[in-house]
Amino acid sequence: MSEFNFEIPSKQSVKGIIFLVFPSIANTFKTAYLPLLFYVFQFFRNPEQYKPYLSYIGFGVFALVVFSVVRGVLSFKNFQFFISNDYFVLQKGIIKKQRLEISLHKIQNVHISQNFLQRFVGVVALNIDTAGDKTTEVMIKSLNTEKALALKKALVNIKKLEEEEAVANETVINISFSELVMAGLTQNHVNSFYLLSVIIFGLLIDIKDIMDMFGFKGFVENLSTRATSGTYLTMIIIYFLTIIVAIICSVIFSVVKVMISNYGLSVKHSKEAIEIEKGLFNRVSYSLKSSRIQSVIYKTNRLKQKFGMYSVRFNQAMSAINSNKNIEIEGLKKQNLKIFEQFVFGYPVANIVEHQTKPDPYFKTQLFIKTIYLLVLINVIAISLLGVEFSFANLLLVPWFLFLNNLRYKRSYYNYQKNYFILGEGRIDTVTNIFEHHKIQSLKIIQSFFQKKRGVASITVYTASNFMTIPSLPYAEAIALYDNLLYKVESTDLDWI
Amino acid sequence: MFENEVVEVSSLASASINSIVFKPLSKLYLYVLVLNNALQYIILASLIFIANYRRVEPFMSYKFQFFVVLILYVLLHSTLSILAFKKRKYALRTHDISFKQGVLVNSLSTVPLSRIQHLDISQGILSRFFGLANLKLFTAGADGSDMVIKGLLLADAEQLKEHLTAKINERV
Repeated sequence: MSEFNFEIPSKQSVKGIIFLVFPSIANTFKTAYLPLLFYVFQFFRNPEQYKPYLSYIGFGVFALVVFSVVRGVLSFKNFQFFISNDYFVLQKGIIKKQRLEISLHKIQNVHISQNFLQRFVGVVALNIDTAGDKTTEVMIKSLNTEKALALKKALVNIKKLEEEEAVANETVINISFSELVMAGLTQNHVNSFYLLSVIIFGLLIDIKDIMDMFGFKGFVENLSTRATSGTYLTMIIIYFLTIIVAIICSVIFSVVKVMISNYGLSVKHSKEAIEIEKGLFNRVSYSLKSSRIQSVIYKTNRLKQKFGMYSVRFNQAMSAINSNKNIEIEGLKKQNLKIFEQFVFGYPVANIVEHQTKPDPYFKTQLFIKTIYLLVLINVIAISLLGVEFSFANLLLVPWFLFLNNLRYKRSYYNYQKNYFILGEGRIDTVTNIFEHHKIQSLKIIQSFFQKKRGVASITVYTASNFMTIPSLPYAEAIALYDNLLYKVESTDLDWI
Repeated sequence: MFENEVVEVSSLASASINSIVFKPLSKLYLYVLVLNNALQYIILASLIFIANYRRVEPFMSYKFQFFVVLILYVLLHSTLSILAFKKRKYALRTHDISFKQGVLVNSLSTVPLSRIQHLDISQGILSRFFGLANLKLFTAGADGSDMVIKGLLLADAEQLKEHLTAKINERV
């Protein structure tokens, strides 16, 4: 069938040595870059004093590179795989030898992926996905594309593969560049802002450390005092500009983020699986099996709704740590969602607005109490760190949190259908969780002291990929729902995987 | 035809989770809890004794406050753990097993028998002394969906495990 014989042990692609050598060098430099930078700087400042150390450091770097290369070559030489008697065997390890054996029957799927570096070198990575076993996790970092494909064919159940090939792999969805830009622009920019703030704050601390070390003590502090000194007019202008820059940066960040992970998104449909391919630098392909998907989440927001755009997230049941459990794709249209529904559930999910049941109004009180806790916590920490001036920030924080709470209640609902359950969530985003009753693993009904007083209770639903909480319902209603969901799981013959 | 009868518990058989009678844990488990608590209090007391003996600073200036907090903690903790013991109950039906607990926050969880992956019986040192065991039910669910029933008589736990294992094997 193929030119590759996997019965005899074979190694990775020779080009792959670079992936064994490079990461270990990079890792060491990552931990040592601050002292090194310090040395280089001091050397230029005061060559005489630091010259004697040059040979030591040079030798250290040289030894490190040699060590990494030798280790890389040795681990390449010791990495072998072959197929014998329906078992895939992998041997690796220089000093501590490891031998992994996986029964071919246990192999669920084989993923082939290619990140930027791998594409540059012209190799692919191969990842073997087994059912249930955490110990049998296999990742082959570099293979020729042809060899990887041949190995995939040899590993995955041959009969199954033929069946799949019988149905032509037709591309059902192709998301164009402009659609992705649109999806990026309509993203929840508030989230991007939060993320960006954390990154910038972290960078500032790093820059401060480096500047302090090089003798520019108080560099960052100077900048910030200079920014806040001056007349009120200049201060207002500076704040105004900062806000505009923050907004622009958040939007750019959203677009770039969507672009990097979703560039060239295409969805192919075969008989048993949906193949998703996407990514700019890190080109990845996923093979989704409907039985593995435990729940589906649609996300949209006010802006996206105007353009009829959605993002979808598939929550899968996976035990392997390395494999990607949850797959999210952007820039989808309503009719695209129907294709996925047909594939995952086998029927279209109803879009019935009138069957939505709202949580008890007590949920609002609950949210309010949680907000107060959060505000107190934020204030205590921030005032002790930044001073009493921070309390003015509450003028913005309090209305913002109240606004979010209001949205949270507005977006909350549930919709109990014959075969499936819909749970609405979200604040700025409208989040729609959909799962079929037979995917439920266990249920929990929770009633706090205060909830008991109000006669309400919450239900938590566990599936094999995530859990969802249906907030405060009137007690009788909660019990009825609990009984119904239990009845649905227990009376079905359908398995969860 | 779908039936969901209560197993051997009562004549109140009904489909609602709300109307089944739950079984309490073994009374002996209360001794385990009390002894465990006592051990914890002894450790705390000896820490204070050491702090007093070696004149550790924040303790010496706030001696009184420390004692008040400690006594309040012991009172609250011991009452809550006894109340919590009384609240812990389980029930087995044809198609599922349920466990409820909680004093301030009541919770009731149910695992359908068809979703149990495997079972595990474990015994602590004190539990072994009293002939008790913990039964743990594993599902494939996300974190927090596994069920642990602590303080069963070993014989009961084994019987339960046998019954459930038989149910799991029936499935395959």
